[in-house]
Amino acid sequence: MEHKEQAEFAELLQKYSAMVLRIAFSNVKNLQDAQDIAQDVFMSVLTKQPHFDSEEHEKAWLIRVTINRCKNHVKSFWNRRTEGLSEDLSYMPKEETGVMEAVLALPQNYRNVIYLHYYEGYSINEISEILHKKPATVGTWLARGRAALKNTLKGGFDE
Amino acid sequence: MKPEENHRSRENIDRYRAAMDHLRLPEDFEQRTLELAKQHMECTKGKQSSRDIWRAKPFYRRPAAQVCFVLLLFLVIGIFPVLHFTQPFLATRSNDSAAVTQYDGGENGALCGGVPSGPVSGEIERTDGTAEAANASEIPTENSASSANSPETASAPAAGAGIEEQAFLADPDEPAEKRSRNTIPGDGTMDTDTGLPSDESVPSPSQPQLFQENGAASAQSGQNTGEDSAQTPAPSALLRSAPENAYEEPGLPLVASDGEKLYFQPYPSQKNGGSLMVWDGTALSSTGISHADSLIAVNGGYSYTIENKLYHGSSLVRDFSDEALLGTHAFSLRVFGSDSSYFYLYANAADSVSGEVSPYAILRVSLDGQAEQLLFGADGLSTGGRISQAILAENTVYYSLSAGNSGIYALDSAGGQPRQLSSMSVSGSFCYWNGELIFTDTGTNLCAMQSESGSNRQLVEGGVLSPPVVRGGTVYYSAKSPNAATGAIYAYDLAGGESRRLLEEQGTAGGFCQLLPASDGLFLVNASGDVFHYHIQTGILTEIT
Repeated sequence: MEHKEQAEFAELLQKYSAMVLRIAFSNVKNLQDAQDIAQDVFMSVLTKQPHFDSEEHEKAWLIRVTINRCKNHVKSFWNRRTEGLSEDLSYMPKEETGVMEAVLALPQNYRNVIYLHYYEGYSINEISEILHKKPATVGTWLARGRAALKNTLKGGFDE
Repeated sequence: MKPEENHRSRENIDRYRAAMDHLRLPEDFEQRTLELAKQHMECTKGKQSSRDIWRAKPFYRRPAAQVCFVLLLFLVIGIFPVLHFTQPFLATRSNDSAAVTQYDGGENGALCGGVPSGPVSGEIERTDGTAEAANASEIPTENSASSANSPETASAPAAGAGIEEQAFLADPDEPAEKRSRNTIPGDGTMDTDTGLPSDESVPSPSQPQLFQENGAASAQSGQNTGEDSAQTPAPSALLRSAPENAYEEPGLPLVASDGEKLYFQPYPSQKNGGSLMVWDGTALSSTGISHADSLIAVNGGYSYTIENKLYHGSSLVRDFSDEALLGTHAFSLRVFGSDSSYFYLYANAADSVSGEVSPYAILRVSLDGQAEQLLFGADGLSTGGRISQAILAENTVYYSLSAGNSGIYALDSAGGQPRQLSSMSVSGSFCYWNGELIFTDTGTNLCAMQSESGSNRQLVEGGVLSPPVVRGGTVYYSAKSPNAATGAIYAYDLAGGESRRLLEEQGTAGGFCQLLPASDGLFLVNASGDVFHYHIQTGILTEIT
């Protein structure tokens, strides 16, 4: 690997590794699996060497690839035939653990739009572009996610 | 939304973000990913380089192509023998004839070809196309010793000069009616004027399909300028168009000699009812066998075929009558040679028409008749013909095709593809001596051909009446006497290249048309089936029969 490529890759890791890990965790609900998926996503960057028009394009590509990898992982034979250990969230404060558990209890699509909207700050239209879904669909997922969280969390997530 | 709920909602969102911020990658994640990426890139480069190398290879050097080629080669090699060996075996009957005699065991260990005869099988032909069942009851009988001892025959010396192995084969193309029409009148004389072959040239029926050595063709064209291959009559056609050759006359006995003993089966209408006789130098005895259609002297005894059954003495070695050596074609089997392990035979299509390419087969069978090996089988399409003569010498089968791809061929005694030595046509039998095949061609010339290269030289030009016999480096043959109407026995010295007259054929019925080597001289057979012994040193001619 050239030094230039190595530096660019290190920058990419520093910039997006945390985001990729969070998205992966939201989907697979397991930190170890999320770390493996994150590494897999960055390896795919190296192997495919995609051309990005902008930084937003690069970020959106990583989000989409991460979600797809997670879906593949969830659908994988190994994941379906085995029962993984429940994630230990004891390292988090008790209040944060309750919110995280409530979010992780949502369906996968709801979790993704909750994360993208409330953590990454994307609007419904932006999320629809990233996920290649209709804005109405994304809006529905977001509304249903909020409604579900309102039932489990006192106050829920605001609109 | 109430302010309290709004506040709660903000808190939940902040807690969610804080919980997400607690997620951490391992500290060495970046380093491990970089190392993994390096390994991956190196692996990819290695694959790419090997792929480039593979693509740079020519097609025939690619392993897959080589494997395919080898498989294809095995397939091709495997298919042809299978095609030859898996022809359906159908019962066949023989009604053709060929007389085979062979001398083996001369002092010089040489070999010699045969004199044609062939009237015997005419006796067993059936008009409905089927052959008479083998006369098994009358074939293997005890030899009845004859008490006739003549002073001349009793004085036969033990060993003479070197004698070449010889196999005399009758051309089986001759139909029975043709043979009877061409029978020499029994007045005791042979019309030597008509004994010469016709000058009419019959075009060769087809070009040889098997590979031919260039040397053979060039030698032939160089030395036989008057007999180029295009003008050489096909033997089968010649045998029909010019049956006046003395040695092609019907009514000749079937003879074989090992130098000491003479085996002969007279023509049934001539002597002893056609029973196979043995002359051991002192006495003549009958074996009780009749209707043999080929005969060789071998291993101190004799072997013969009768209606596709191979016998050695009184024992049946192998019955081929129920085997389909030529697929669906009926065949006629002839034995022409033997070594310490095998009998060598050939099979011609019994229903073949002269001039047509017919299937034939050359095979060998173990002395006990258990193991059989097809040495070569002509399919009758690309290769084929009719074997008129064959001889086993120096682990090689030399044979002459009289139809189809006519010519002289050499085939390894273990099998394989035959090698065409010449496109010449052989009349009668040929002998083998010191790497040369000696024979009479269809132009009645005495020729010698190198068995390896096929180069040909003419020993005697024209007028030769009998197939030659070689004994101790001297070729003996019967030829028309230049100053007389009768023929004479001549001796041609292969080393000196000169020919001398040995014996005038006076007082012998029809002239001598078959010669066989004896340890002290020659056995001579005339057209009437009378057999004589000629002592070379003393010049005494003794009638055996």
